[in-house]
Amino acid sequence: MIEVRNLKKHYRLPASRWLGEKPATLRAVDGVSFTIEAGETLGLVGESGSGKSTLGQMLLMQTVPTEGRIIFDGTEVQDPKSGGMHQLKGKVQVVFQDPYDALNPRMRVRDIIAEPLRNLQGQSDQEIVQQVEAVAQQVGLRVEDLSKFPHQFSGGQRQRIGIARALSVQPKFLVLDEPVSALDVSVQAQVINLLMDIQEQHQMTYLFISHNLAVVEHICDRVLILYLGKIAEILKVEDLHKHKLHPYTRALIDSIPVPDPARAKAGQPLSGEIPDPAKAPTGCRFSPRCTMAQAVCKEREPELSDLGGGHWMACHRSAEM
Amino acid sequence: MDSLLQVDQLSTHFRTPRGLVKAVDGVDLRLRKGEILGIVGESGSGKSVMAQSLLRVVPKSNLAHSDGRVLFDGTDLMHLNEEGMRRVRGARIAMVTQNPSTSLNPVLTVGAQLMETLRFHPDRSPDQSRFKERMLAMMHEVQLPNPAAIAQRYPFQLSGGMKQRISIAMALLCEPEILIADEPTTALDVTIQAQILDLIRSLRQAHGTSVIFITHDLGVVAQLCDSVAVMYGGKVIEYNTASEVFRHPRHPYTQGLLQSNPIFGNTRSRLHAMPGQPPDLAALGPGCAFAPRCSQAQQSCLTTSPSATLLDGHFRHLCPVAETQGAASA
Repeated sequence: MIEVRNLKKHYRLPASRWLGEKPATLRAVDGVSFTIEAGETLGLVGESGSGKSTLGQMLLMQTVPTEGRIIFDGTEVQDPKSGGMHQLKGKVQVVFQDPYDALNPRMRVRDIIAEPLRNLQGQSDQEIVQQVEAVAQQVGLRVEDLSKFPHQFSGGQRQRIGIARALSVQPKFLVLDEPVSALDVSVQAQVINLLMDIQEQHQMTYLFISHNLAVVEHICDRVLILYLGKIAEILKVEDLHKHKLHPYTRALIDSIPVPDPARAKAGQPLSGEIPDPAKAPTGCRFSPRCTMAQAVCKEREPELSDLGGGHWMACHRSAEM
Repeated sequence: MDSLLQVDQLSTHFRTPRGLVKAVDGVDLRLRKGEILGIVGESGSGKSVMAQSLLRVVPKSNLAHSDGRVLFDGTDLMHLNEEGMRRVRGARIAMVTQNPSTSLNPVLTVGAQLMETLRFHPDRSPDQSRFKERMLAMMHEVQLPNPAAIAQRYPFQLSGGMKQRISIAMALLCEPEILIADEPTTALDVTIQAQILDLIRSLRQAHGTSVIFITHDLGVVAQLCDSVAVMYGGKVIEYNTASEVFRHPRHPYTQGLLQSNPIFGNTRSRLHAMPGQPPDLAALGPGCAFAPRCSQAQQSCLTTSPSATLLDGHFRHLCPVAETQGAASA
């Protein structure tokens, strides 16, 4: 359904000429290739600064790639100047993280949900009203809620409004950018279940961006682990429990606090922090924090290689695991 | 009797255009020396206001009243004068907040801010000539690499994890008996969160500091805390040792919370979702705040507020259902 080939987004950083600096390049996303099958949920996981939101924005054509190709449903997406946005219109939608910031406080819920439909044109007012009521019902909003304003709802209800807005144009593909991170646990479960139901009913394809591997494991089929703009690993969620894992993926799993006092955490937490993407380390970008790093890791960048069974890993030491 | 901190019937209410909001309503807590007490609750449960009430730093603008008893080392903090409170706050009971970007002063170097804390509490560290030494030692203790260089930086030049380490160093400079940490890892990546939790564990080990750790993350509570108080609608609805709360949750809300928490290891499974939304504190009825969402609610739950049920020791439950379950498992 979606094919991404060697996608890059580089930002030129302003240089201080006074200090005699050379202009630096921030490689937010640096040569990423993957596919998303129709009806699948691909998880996109990484720490802040890993480039996951930039990658999501490029799939929405909100950010123009520096290099690379995006092929959506068999046709290559052009950049917005030559109609890229128009091409995706109505097929791709997004749900944002913060339901407090993503909804216009001055618009009624009815108009918020109808806005993408109106932008699409070609539908009568009555059809729009019907469609709005249909999606509202689908996400669990009541008809009387449609006349209210966003501030009259709690966080979880607002996220339902955000989902309804995304669904109104019946897209095939949804980019879910941390859709439950800002929600409380009891409400988070409702929204995750809702997203799973919608996918099943409409055979939708999801890109689920998250930093929470436990949530990703519940909702996704496959996971793409991103570190400093590069793919560290792509694997099926079941394979997250296998022994053979990228050291970074392993560290992310070990960092999850287990909600059981009897199960103590496994080993030492990952040391250090994700480096400034403008000053990415040479060789493997994860090597300065990696417990398995050897001389070769500091010298050469590892290739993303196929380990079979849909498992891809970029690690010099994958053969020894 | 060996409580370092004893909180009885702490209540903080706010006046709002929509009516009286009982943000904290009759909270009882005990904290022993060296204990890590977790306060768990969702947004609006009153956990942050509870922490602010302990230190009397609740926003005053629309405060109706804040009362109760907060017995700390023999003194009731609620009746201490402002000067006395000033000596406690930041020195004997220190606080770390969720967002280090807003709690640090953006126009001062972090070193200057750390030094200011020491100067502000001369009774805690009398030797002025050793301030800098003390500051660098503390920065080293919270595992900041190269303390002398970092002390000269401004907050914006540091990562979120480093800023949180600075906040923790600042809180610990005067060697407080109690550290109140209000969601200190919520804004951080999981890998950094794991580092900060390790740090808090080792600080407790080294100094015997008692910690009140406020969070919405059940995993963090399980991995860090000795005892847990679960808050809902301004009240503590379950309060027990961490192992009991996780193994035998008795309040239906705690049970639901644990079931709806996604656990790593359950591939592509539906989550148990609790119905409904967290309560609107301005529109609470006479009954139990959780009753509208509770699958086990009885008729009486809707009309009368549940009274506290003392189980073993000081661990309380505010629910008739929890009471019967306690009896069943006992």
